[in-house]
Amino acid sequence: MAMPADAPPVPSERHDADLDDERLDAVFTALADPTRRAILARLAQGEASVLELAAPFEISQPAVSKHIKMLERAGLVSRHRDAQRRPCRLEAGVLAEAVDYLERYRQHWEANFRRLDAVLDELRTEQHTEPHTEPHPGGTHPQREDQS
Amino acid sequence: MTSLETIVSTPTDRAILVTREFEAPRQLVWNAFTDPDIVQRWLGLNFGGWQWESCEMDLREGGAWRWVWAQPDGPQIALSGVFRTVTPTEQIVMTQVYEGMDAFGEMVVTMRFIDLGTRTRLEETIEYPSTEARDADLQQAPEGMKPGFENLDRLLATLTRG
Repeated sequence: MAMPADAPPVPSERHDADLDDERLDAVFTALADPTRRAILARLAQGEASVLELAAPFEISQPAVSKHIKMLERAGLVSRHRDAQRRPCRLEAGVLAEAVDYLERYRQHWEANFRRLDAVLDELRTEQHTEPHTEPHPGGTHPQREDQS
Repeated sequence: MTSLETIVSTPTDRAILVTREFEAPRQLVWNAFTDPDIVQRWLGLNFGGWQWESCEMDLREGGAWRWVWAQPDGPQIALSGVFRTVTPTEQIVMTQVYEGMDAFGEMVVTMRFIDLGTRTRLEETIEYPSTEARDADLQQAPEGMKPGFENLDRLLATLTRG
């Protein structure tokens, strides 16, 4: 039930290393993991060290470090070079850009599903009225509205 | 959660998951997704004035489906595929290609309809042959639909739920 959400696209034109697309791939991959999403959600509240980020998770600190490295590679997280504990910081702009695509895709579906909500309402009404449908005297057909 | 909000997430590096609840019993939602006459009443491309040209769905294992939209002056967009498994009212697994757009390859679409009593939850997973194909599809969402994210917290809440 997915569909091309825009006019016939030309995805094959992407072959010569478009860095933006590559980075976006890395961003989507990074966002696919719930631990990494949780790390980003924590960083949205402010900078944090690796230790602080690891605290709420069951997994080991090296495993958390690995997740953070992926987030860094995707450009979603940066780390201070100078400070002793090298806190992590959310790169909100990069995240917003990626989520922008997801959000537009979502709105495309939402538009369809809102129409479906209305159709489901109509179907329910039809179901309820069906047993009572009798030919209307006088030849009028008030409940039939074909609008195309 | 009482709102009927569409949630989109990327559960793996090749998939998109679309989740939505509907205020209707499962049988009705199933009909709306599988009866070609009803499908044409709501499913659309949402841009450029594309109108339904034909909607064929041979709803059985191995049966073919094909949806075609057309512009008044001729151009068409067609999607097609084959139903792999059909479990009435519960689940459909089907292949899907965007005809004439080979770069996307063949997708596998799984639609699960979960009975919540008066409500039904749809969980639709679209699996692409590659990460590149998936991201290309995400990136072709209509430009006109710019979201208005007031703040990052709301945005992250959306992500964390996915």
